[in-house]
Amino acid sequence: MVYLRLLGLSAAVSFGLVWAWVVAMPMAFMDAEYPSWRAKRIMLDRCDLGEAIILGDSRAAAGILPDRLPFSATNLAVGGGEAIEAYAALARALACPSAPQRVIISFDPGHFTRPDLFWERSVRFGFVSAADIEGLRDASRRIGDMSLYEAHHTDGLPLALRDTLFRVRFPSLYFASLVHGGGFLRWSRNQTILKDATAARGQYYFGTQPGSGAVALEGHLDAFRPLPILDHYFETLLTLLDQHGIDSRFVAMPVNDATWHQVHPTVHEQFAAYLAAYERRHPRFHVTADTMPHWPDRFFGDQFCHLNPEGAERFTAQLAQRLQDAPPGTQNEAQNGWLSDTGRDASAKVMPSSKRGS
Amino acid sequence: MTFSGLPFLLGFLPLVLCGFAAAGRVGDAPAKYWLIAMSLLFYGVAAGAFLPLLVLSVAGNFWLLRRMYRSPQAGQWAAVGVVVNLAVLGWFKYVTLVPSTPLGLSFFTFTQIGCLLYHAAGDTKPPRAADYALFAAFFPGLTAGPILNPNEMVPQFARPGGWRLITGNLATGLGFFVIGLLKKTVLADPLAAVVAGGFAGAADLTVFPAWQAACSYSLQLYFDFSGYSDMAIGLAWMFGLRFPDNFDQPYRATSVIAYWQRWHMSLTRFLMAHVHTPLTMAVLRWRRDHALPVGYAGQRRVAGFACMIGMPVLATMALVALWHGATWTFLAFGALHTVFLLVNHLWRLHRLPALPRTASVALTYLCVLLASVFFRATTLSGAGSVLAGMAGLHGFEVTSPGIHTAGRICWLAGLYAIVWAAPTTRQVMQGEATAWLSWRPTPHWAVVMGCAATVGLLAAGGTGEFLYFRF
Repeated sequence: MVYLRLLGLSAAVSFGLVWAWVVAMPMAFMDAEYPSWRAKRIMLDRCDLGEAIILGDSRAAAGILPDRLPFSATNLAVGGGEAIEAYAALARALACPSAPQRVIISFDPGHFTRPDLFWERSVRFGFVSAADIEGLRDASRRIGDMSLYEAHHTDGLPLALRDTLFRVRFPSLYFASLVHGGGFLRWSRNQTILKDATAARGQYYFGTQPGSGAVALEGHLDAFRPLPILDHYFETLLTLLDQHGIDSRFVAMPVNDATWHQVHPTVHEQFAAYLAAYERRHPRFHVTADTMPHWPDRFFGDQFCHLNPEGAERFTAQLAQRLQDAPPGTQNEAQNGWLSDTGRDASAKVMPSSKRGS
Repeated sequence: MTFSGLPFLLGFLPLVLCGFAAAGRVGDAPAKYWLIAMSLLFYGVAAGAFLPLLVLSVAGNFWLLRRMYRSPQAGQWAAVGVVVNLAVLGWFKYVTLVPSTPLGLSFFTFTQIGCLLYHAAGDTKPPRAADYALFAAFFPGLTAGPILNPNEMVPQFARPGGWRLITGNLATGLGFFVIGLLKKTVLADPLAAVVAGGFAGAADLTVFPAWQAACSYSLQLYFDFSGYSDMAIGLAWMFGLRFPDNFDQPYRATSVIAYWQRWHMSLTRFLMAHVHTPLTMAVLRWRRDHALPVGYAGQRRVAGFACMIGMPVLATMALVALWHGATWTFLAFGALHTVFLLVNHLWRLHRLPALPRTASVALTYLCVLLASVFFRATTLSGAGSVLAGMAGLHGFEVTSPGIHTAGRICWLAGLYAIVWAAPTTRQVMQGEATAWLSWRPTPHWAVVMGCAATVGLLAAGGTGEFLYFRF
């Protein structure tokens, strides 16, 4: 009996210690993307956002450099981000005393059509709250699309219990990171990444290779079929922007030529039509003319069409030029070929906000 | 619901232990009924749609056993039972379009067929209903074995008294369970990504990644299955029952014959008892009746070897292949092992010189490894691609992104060290290992097992990191 008591005690104490470590010191062991998300969360919590925020997925997170834009901005796009993460971030940003005045949105077609890393990243990293998860559950049931809510199964755990385990940061959910991170060996690296991501106003790179000719997801889609639940959150996101009178602009990030050559024409057409329908319903929502720009492979840093540093500089320069020259709603985007690769490279004309002083 | 999942560890196991402790205070019968109820719950949660099939199977076989007792047609009833059981198994496994085979169907069917054959003479009293229900459907062995032998297990289920939660049983059972849990979650599961990636991209595997994928799979399979068996043994032990071993250091075998005596031992024992030995005996009798040699000299002749050794081995390995599924890859797996076994027998019969022990182990493992490629691959061409990669036909580049990393090679080396040098779970738990590795109910071991349980629980519900972790 003494043996069993001691066994139970040692199990309880060791488990409790690990749990406390997971809750208190995630920077010590989490993977390299966590500190970038943490940086965005800190800026959100501090309401340190500037005039504009960027919402979107990993391509936007890597490809838009806030300090090169003509106004102060924060890049809140996250790896695997979809409309639900964007909505959660926007709702928090709007609760700030000085809410953002404009929003740039960017998702690739894949982030409308399939669950990505919502549980593994957004929930596990604490980027979305328990209330956000409850909202997802209710919306999923209402719409009848449980694909995102049920995307993460923990070996048959009841979903309510699973949600609770995520909420309390049950250490089993972090075990792989604990092992790979050696428990505390990632502390220094993660602090550096946090510092860099904060300094870059939330922008962080994925692949940094000097080119990639790999075909990304768009090249493998045979049609663009948005998930009802993601469509619901996109609508909710734009409605919230409308309610606050905030102009928003959908910016499509480029894909490499290798991907472009594989893209089924239907996918491009359906994606453009999908966004155009939203543009008609939401007067403050503007969509760039080209919803799938394509650039030479040398501007991409990995097989997922994340822009490399050279590509990000180029893209942001063009974006900054357009934002400076053509404020939303003042010109016909479809006519001037906004952000078209064939347009003039106007990066020289742009004065980054970081160099313009306050 | 699996033994290594959070629902089992956090919910089912504490519940069944607490209920057993409470029921055991009332009496043997309540404790048994509690275990039966929990076994049905276990199966119902894991595969609710097939719970009626399990209940019907147990009830039907029990009815047959009752009919057979003291019946002059006991053997015929047993034959009918075997045919019906195999028909059900074959229907669900090979014929019907049900998306997945009912969980544990092969295990509880073979266990019950064994019981029918054990009672085929009609002179053995059938077990009581509750004892039989536990024998056929006790949750530790229900979904992944081991296949239980009625001669060993029915007396245990029928024992009077002892249906209480005893601290000694609980301590030992927990030890088996925790070690099995660690084997499954800490050693086997991390290999899954390498294996899946390697076999999915088999056409591009160069020599080192191909070997890495194949070796990883053989280790994953061993640690996964033997870990699960250890957990089953530990669970049974907690309730005072002794399950048979299912693995005995199979990768240390010095011949393929020895390998099959150490790998999935309960299946091998079943097939030896009910297929291989009866076939061999039938052939021997036939040859003896026809004045043909049946001894060593006869076996060395082509015809004698073919019918006395080749045919029973071929039939047995065909069943081993079909047990796993009716696919060409499993058939190729069975055919390869048939060839290995026959070569092994020829070597033995012709008294060729024995290889040094290390070389024997290495050669045996190489044979097992090659066959395991067919076991894992989904198509013959996929298996061929992996083997081609292993042979260097896809090049010799040392690195291949995402598959071949130094860390994983070191991990594999560590796992081989465990496979070839560490004692088995039973050796650890029953004091047969070296002194410092022999478990005893001491405070030191309590702390070790407590911390090991924590690691197992942490690993059980882990969210894996992605290979390309920054996306």
